[in-house]
Amino acid sequence: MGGYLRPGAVQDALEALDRRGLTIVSGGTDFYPARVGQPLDDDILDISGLAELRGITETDSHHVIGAITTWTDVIRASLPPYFDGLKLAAREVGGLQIQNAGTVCGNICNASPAADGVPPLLALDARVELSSRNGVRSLPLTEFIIGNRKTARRPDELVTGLTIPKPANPAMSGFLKLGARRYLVISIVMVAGVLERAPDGTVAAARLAVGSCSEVARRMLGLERVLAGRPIGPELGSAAMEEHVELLAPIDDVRGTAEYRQEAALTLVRRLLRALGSAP
Amino acid sequence: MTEIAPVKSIGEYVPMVDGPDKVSGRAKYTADFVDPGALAGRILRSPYSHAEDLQVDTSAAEAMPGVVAVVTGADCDKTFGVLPIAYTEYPLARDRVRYRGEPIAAVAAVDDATALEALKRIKVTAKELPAYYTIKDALAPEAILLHEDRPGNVERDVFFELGNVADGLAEADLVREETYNCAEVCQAQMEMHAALADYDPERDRMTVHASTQVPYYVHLMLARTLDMPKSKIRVVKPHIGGGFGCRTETLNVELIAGLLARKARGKVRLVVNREETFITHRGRPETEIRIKMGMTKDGRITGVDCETYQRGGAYGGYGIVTILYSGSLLYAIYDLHNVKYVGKRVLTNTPPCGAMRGHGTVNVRFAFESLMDEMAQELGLDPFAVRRANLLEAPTFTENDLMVNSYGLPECLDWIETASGWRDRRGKLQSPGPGKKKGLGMACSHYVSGASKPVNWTGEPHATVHLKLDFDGSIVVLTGAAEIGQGSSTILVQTVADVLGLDMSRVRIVASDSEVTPKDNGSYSSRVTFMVGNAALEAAERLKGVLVEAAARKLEARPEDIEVLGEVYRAGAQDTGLTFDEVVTEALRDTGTITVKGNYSTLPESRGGRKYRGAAIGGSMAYSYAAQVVEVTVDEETGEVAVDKVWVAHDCGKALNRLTVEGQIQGSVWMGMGQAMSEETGYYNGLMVTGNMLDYRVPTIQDSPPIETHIVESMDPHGPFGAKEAGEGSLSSFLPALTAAVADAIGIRFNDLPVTPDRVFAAIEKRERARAREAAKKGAA
Repeated sequence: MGGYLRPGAVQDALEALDRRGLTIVSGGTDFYPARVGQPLDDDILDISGLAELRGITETDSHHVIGAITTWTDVIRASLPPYFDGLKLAAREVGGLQIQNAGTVCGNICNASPAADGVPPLLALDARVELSSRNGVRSLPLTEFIIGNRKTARRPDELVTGLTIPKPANPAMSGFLKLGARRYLVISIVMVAGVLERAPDGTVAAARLAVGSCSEVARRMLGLERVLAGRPIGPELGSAAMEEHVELLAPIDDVRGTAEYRQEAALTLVRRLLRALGSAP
Repeated sequence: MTEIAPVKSIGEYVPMVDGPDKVSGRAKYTADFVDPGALAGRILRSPYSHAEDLQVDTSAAEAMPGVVAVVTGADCDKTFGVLPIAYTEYPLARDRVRYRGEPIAAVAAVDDATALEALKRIKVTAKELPAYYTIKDALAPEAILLHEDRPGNVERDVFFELGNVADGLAEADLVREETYNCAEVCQAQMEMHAALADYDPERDRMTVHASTQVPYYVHLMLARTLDMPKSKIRVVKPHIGGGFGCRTETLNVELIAGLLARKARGKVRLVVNREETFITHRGRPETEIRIKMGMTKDGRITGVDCETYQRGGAYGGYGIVTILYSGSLLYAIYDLHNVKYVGKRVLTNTPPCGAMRGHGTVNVRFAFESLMDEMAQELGLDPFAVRRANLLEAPTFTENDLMVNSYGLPECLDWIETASGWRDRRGKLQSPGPGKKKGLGMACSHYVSGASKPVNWTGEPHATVHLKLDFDGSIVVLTGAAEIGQGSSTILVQTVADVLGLDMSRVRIVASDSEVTPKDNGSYSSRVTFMVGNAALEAAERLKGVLVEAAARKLEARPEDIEVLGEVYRAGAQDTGLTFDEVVTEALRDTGTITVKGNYSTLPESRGGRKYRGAAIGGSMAYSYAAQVVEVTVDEETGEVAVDKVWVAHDCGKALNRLTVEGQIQGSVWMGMGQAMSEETGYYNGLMVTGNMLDYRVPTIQDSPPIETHIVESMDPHGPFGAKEAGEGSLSSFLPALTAAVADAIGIRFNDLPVTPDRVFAAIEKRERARAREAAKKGAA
């Protein structure tokens, strides 16, 4: 086994990262399965002791999800309705034991194309907070995940949390996932969305994201523009057209064909909009 | 004074006797035997799908500190298998490898990390050969042979025609032909394969603990491959975490553990991981089936022409039996005449298939029932009517000489029809929402209650049970029957307790230790309840006879006047009688410890016929019957199919333990659901890419529908208390009932399994495009 550090303070963690490259581990739910049958020779920075990074806090303008906040923490937290999509996604991350150990930030740092947490966080317009000895910077999630298992994190940086802006209007959210069984399954397609309601009952803003259909989950910006200003109702579903999902680039794999994914993505987007539009 | 009455447990809901151990974690499985002195075993597997001139250089591995033994094909030149006519595998490949993942070397070292490191230092070279992953490629004329003595890469060709198919089809009002394709599936049982081999160099003895359904076969193959006398070997089967047929033959894991332990002159623990367990395979083969059927207007089947191809994998295994079952068990469920069957078991460069639950019958039953259903629809007949038009009348012998004495299929049909509300609900189910449609489908199935002629035919009785009764008044059942979670130990304890009228707590059981227990062929083909149950019944009756004799002597009465009330033996209602313990004390006076034995042998007329080569396969003392209705919702927009409810009836003769019978029926339905809807293995150039529990998609509890079970008791004249098979027969009817339900919902029938969302979606799209083309044509005209 390589080196193992478990600091109790963020500053100590950042100093360690500044000295040399380390593999950052919290819940370990992606780390260990990737190393079954192999010796653990990584130099590890275990951040599970950074108690200050656990939990969800609220400011006037934001919610902040700390770096070691688990999926179960999200499920149990009392949060406004626009977090419902993230909570639904949280229930899809592995089984209960995985949800108890795995973290939201770990999910985005692992940057799998099928990460359940990414589409709802994209729809929440989340930003990623990166800290190093040289300071703190913040990136939109869309700029943080840059490819299949690739992120913009520098080796000396630690993701300390996610900031989620409070929407200007009342908002609701949802999440749909399609797999070949109902539970414990890597999704074929997933869709997340947040809809903000203007005082006149129209869409003030819509944010939609589709996962598992491209290297990185994608926001549906074209469709979001179309939705803005439309009256909120079940007919929002019919606003989604084939052209809106053309930006996806799904692949054929053991879980489904590219063609099926593309079609199913559109179906799920329509359903989500219909459901959000029908919500009271 | 309270009335003394014998205690009855047969026919009740009885918790399993090993339940407390399993629930509390006290039960030890093979991998739980962690001995500080045991070496860690690891297997090196072939990176080639097909290669010859295999050269394995182990010198660097052997030189490593901590490595105690390294074995390769050079250490064992004896083949193994399950059918004496098909010992085709070596524990470790010699010269030739035939599937990716086939063991080629193994290491025993002081710890797991050292063993793993040693594997990396073994150098392997070989000359690659063309590899065949499909039936078509393996059968191509230019294909080289996987095994020199299997021409055409066919493990076994089966052919029979009984009656005259051409005449039969000519009689029909409707003749239809369809092809079906079922993907390869495997058991995905909870416990991964494991063996603990302990070699005693001073006495030249070998003890092996193994996760097996067939300790006796493992014993035979250990003796053969280690070239040791059987008397020097002991095989113990600890608790087992599921079998479903993946352990009904000796596996290379057990033999490699033995080879390592002997070479290391000590103890080796070999526990393979999930991927290796998947690669060891022994699941159900990918199967292509073509069926042609003739039917009269009133639904009677006049002739069947069936052709079956199975992709068997690289070695024989149970293959010959599987391809024979697929033909012989076309019979014994309906009154069939004029049947032609062609079966080909094909050798391919994939892991070997085996005897998975419902062995040989499942895929053919899917095809048969599907075609029957489709033809019924074309003839305007109800699916129930077409089944009822073809029922057998028991007792009878089928055209291929299978003996059917009890037949509860009519009652199964009646119950599922009523319980599901078939007549009122079919075709009238409301759509639960936009894009969603509901449907109902039904089908029937059956299975054997033990193969009447075991694969390893020695002429001995099919089952033997010993009972021991001593000073403590407890009865010990000694049996070789392998408890694998199916409840065999509970059934045997119940049988003995019930015959003697005793509470089950008086009876203990010791199972599957060759040092102590009588030989048993093992847990497969649903043989244990029928055969070992009958042996236990005979043993218990004999013990009762001994006790009655003793009681009669003590009470100075005639044995025939002794009333056995379990804890009391008395001579007439006025007599206060003797307690059980007093009777035992009296009985022990003569002989000391009492041991009795019960045997069971099948009737010769149950052992199948001789009308074609291999006709003995399929012969059984009794057949179980099942029928089920499946209700689904199909989401036409995503292609998802949800099973809303299942009604299933199973004729098991007599339910000895209603709790375990219901569990087995539910489990069968659930396993059928996996095969029908989500499970399939996948390979990339021979490498299994679904060898984990995430990509091999067994349904989870969230996919599981409410399953309403009903037990039909046809009281088989030869079964113990009337019992017959309960653990397999309900599986295969789920598959055709599911596709029939989908067809009822959306008008599309799937002939290929599994019915995954993308396949459903693609089929709907295809239909919509065809409809659009039609509409365009009409518009243009």
